[in-house]
Amino acid sequence: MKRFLEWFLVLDRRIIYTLVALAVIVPLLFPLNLRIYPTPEVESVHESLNELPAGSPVLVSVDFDPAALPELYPMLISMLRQSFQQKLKVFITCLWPNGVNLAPMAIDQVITDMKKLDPEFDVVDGEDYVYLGYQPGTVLVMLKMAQDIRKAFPKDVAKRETSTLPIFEDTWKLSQMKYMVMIEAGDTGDYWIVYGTTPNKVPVGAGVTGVMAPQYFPWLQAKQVDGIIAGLKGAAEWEVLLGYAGSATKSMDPQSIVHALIFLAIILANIFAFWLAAIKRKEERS
Amino acid sequence: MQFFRRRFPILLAFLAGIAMFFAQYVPAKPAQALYSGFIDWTIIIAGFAGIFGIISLTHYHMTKVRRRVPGYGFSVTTLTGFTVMLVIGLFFGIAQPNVKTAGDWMFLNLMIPMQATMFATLAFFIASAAFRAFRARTAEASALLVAGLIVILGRVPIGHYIPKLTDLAAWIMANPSMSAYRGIFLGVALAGIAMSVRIIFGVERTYMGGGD
Repeated sequence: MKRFLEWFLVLDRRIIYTLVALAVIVPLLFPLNLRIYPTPEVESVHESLNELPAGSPVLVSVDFDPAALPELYPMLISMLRQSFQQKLKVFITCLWPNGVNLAPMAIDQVITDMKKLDPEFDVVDGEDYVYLGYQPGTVLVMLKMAQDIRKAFPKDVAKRETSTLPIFEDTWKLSQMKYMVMIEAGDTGDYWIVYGTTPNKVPVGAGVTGVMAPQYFPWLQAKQVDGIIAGLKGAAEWEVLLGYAGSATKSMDPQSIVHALIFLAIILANIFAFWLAAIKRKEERS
Repeated sequence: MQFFRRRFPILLAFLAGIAMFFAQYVPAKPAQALYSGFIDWTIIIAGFAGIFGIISLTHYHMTKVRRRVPGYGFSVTTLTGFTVMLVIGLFFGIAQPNVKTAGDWMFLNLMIPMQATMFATLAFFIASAAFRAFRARTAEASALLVAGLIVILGRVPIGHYIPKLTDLAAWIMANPSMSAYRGIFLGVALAGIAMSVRIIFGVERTYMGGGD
């Protein structure tokens, strides 16, 4: 028994890697369809958007790069989907240089998906939505947006003068936004809350990676954040609320099984470590 | 010369700091124009910081290649990747809705797979590290272990099949974890204020280089 315990506690990492790989692949091939229950934090974001009348301006900040794409991209899709469904005016910015290509991908995907559902669906670039692209300066861009978004972003990605776009006719500064969803893989979200949304009284939902979620709870309790979409699970909850199964929903089975595997591995490692220590103590005494 | 090297930057920091501070409380047009001007200048400076970054990166890797230091092949790869992306980005533009560019193709077929691969390998390393290191050796480690295990399972759909587990995980996130983060935030904010005051009044001078 002692030899088995010693072997288990220094288990070859290749065995662990293989188990993790299987825990991901098998549920993808044979889905368990585990039920997803939306949390109040995600429901809050969904409800706040739901209550906005058609034509309300909303801001989406795409502040992540491809490394966080599996977790955060489904949130961007859900945000655009809900906004387009409700005919909201969507302003999209990017404060992460490596994420500048993600928003066009998401816009194209959502428009294609929506057209499949409703062939008459149509949104006009520059009128119903605008993608303003990347601007360096992070906090300074937010401060400038508080004064005039058209000055913070003089041109959109299509190189059109923002001051000439119809979407800016009634909305040109941050405080006029009725809601914001920031999709964050780093510190930019904190800056949005401190310098952007709180001083300008813009309600904001935070879409963040799983590891970042705990640091947003103080903002939530202080009501400086309206809701939190935490990681892939949060993204899946939003998909459930919107009534479609996107990539986040499909990833819930593998994520659950991997978490269960890690849970079991830690429990077993601890039990076996105590057991081995007890055997060694017994041997020393005898 | 001494004035421009030491006193002038301190004077500049003092004037800029005080001006920005009072601009927050003075709604008069000249004050707001000054505030707006400062923001414009700083956005331009932030753009130039990017250029300095590019110069620094190129210089660092060119030096490694020139001196043939061990592993200089990685520097060649970095410089090649950087040049290709820069040229394509400058001459073919970035993606727009409904418009596909060469830069977009590079992003989709190189950046996304490479960054996703790097990030995906973390799952394997974390599983292995958690198995080896997450042990209840002390009372504090045991508390962390129990909280961690509840959150690991309570924040995924499978946790809903264990009664009360998700509620417990939610309680941990919204209470002990949140309290700890709030303490960290307050500490960081107070330190930030203290550091700003030190810079404005010339006590903190490390930003000028030289270490004093």
